[in-house]
Amino acid sequence: MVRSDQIRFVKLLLFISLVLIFGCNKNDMQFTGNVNKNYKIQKSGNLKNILENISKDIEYALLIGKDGTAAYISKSSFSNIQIQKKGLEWFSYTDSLPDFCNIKNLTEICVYQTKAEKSLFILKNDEQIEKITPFSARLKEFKLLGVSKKNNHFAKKYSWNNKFKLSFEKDSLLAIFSDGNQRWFNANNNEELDNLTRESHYFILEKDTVLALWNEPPEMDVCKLHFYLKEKVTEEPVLLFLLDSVGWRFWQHASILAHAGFLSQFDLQPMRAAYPPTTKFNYWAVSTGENLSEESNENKIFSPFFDIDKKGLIIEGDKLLFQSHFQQISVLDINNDGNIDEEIYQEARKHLQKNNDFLLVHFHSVDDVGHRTGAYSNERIEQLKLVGEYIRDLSQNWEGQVYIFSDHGMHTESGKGVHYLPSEEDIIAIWGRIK
Amino acid sequence: MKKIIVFLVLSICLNLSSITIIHQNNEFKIKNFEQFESVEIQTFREKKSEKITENWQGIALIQILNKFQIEDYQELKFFSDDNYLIRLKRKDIINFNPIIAIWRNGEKFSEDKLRLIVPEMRDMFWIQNLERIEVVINTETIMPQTIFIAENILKNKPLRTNLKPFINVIGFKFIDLVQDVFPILQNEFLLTGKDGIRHKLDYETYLKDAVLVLEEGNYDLKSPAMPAGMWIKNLSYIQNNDRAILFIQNFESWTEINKILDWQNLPEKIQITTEEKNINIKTHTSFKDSLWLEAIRLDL
Repeated sequence: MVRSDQIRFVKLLLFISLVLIFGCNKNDMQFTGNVNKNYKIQKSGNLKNILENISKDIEYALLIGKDGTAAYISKSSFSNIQIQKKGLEWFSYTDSLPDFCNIKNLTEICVYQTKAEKSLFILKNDEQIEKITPFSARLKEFKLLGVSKKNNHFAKKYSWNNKFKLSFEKDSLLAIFSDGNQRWFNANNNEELDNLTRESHYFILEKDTVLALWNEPPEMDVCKLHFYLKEKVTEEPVLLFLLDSVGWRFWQHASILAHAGFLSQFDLQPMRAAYPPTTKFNYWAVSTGENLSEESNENKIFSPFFDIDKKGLIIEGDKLLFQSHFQQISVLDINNDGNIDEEIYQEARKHLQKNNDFLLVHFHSVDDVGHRTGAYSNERIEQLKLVGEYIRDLSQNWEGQVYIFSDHGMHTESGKGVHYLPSEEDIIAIWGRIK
Repeated sequence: MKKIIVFLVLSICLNLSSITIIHQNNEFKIKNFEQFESVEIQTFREKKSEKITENWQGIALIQILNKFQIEDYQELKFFSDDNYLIRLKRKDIINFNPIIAIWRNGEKFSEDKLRLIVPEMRDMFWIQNLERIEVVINTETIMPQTIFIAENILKNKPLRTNLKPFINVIGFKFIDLVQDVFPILQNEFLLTGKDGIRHKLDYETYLKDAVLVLEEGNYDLKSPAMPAGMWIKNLSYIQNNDRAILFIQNFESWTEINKILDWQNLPEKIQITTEEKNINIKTHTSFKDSLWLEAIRLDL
């Protein structure tokens, strides 16, 4: 009896040891760089097949060994490399590529594809200085030893040199995090930002995923604009135009081409949009003075804006994002010509003389056209000019102050306009008053 | 104390006046030119319609290379004190016999103002205030595997006027063009103008703050880190490793591109990727075919 208990105990110990050795994934191969999540593999296979399971757009890979040696190879060579596990160790095997691509004790494969959602954007004032992708940050840690060619396959040999570091020129640094939070930092002259680290496929600043570092950003932001307008509306009636997705870069581009039309009559300035740079988050911030969060009360846009005896009106497209205590008119594209702003303009015209203290007109079409044709397409520039004509007419028939703001900008991917990054094109909006 | 200060000043002056040669991991400083045999040459050039004849006296570059046993090179890079850079191929050095000039028309240059004179080459290949010579062992530029079309990248980028330090110009930042093409912006980029002028330039040193100035539909590459003589008029081609960017509207066919890039073995067919499709197309077709102009990338 005692003996069988002992055997059972020994078996249990053996089982636990096996689980500890093989089951805890300590020896999984890690995939890092421009990927959207943490990938690991447990099975051997051809590199091309392994990478295609992660993304078909991967174009370069850096095979990194435990001793700090690394081989940089391109897509055309992926199928010539086997990634194998022997015992507890991984290694790469190839006889077609230069010998240094055979890496013993392979610990990481860092991959490059153009799209890298967790890149770190470095901005200064109203410009983007650099975009650091997780792949480029990792590669910068290595020193190039040489380039070699075998069977028409090129590969580069690297050795690990030093840890990723970033230096900054000035203080007054704003960090934007992936959860939308923003924090100010003081980085002294040319000193490294100590708490910034590169992780597998993203960057961490003080324990949170950081997406942008912005030196001396524009003073105005979407929340501040709320309080600015709130003060102005006490002086005289305010006509406010929301130009969906007209970012600072697009505005400058149109101005250079002398296609800004009537909008050149406004004294426009750059403004920090909230992250993520979408209408929902920024419309909320301008109309409440707060960032949108799960706790936000969706019934209160513009509700504490002014005294109860004053009158406000919002005219916008067919999708109302938030409810307001103001009257809201939702307009349809009646003639179905894809330009809802024509109907919004016609509706706004009817309400100019109705003693409103505050009138918000939300024009959508520059955003719609951009999504279809790209951020800097001729069609989009023409649309801006057309909306400028609506604004000219409405402004000239309004008695009071006239302001414009936008909720975010836009950039182009695969020919279509999109906006989701803390880049200069997406995150810098505009605001200003008619001259 | 005075002696120490005088010694330090003299040491600094001597260091300033020397030319450094970098060969693999070795650095040689040439301080004493009297150890070399002096040569004399005469050059003729035209400047602002004026014909100039000059007599130069100095040291043949070959002598210096022999002295330091530098034989395994394919190219030499010459840098002035303001980072002006020119490259001379081995065959040019052997054929044209450049000299490091110490005297011009009987007047001696101060020792930090020595010049590289290359008879039979245009004076843009000469260099003033020569500071450093770097030996390049291997100059092989690989054929790119993927070529991106510059015009189709730039049409999706914002035009800018604030291209500091250049004023009253319109264009793009260089980084706008290259950022999403090359996996990492470091090491040397090959840049070529329509006239065939080529530069291989380190990104951090020369190109980080470079701009593309729009001039009559073409793009001139300028950088505050490059002396004006190195700016590239009508930039036509950029390459880093196996990726390249081509300004396709500067060319009519691959034959024209081959003339300035010296490619061997261009494949018969290239895969073109446009916004709508992937298609294989023969390389001998004219670029006037709209497919070439719609291309986002070409895979060789």
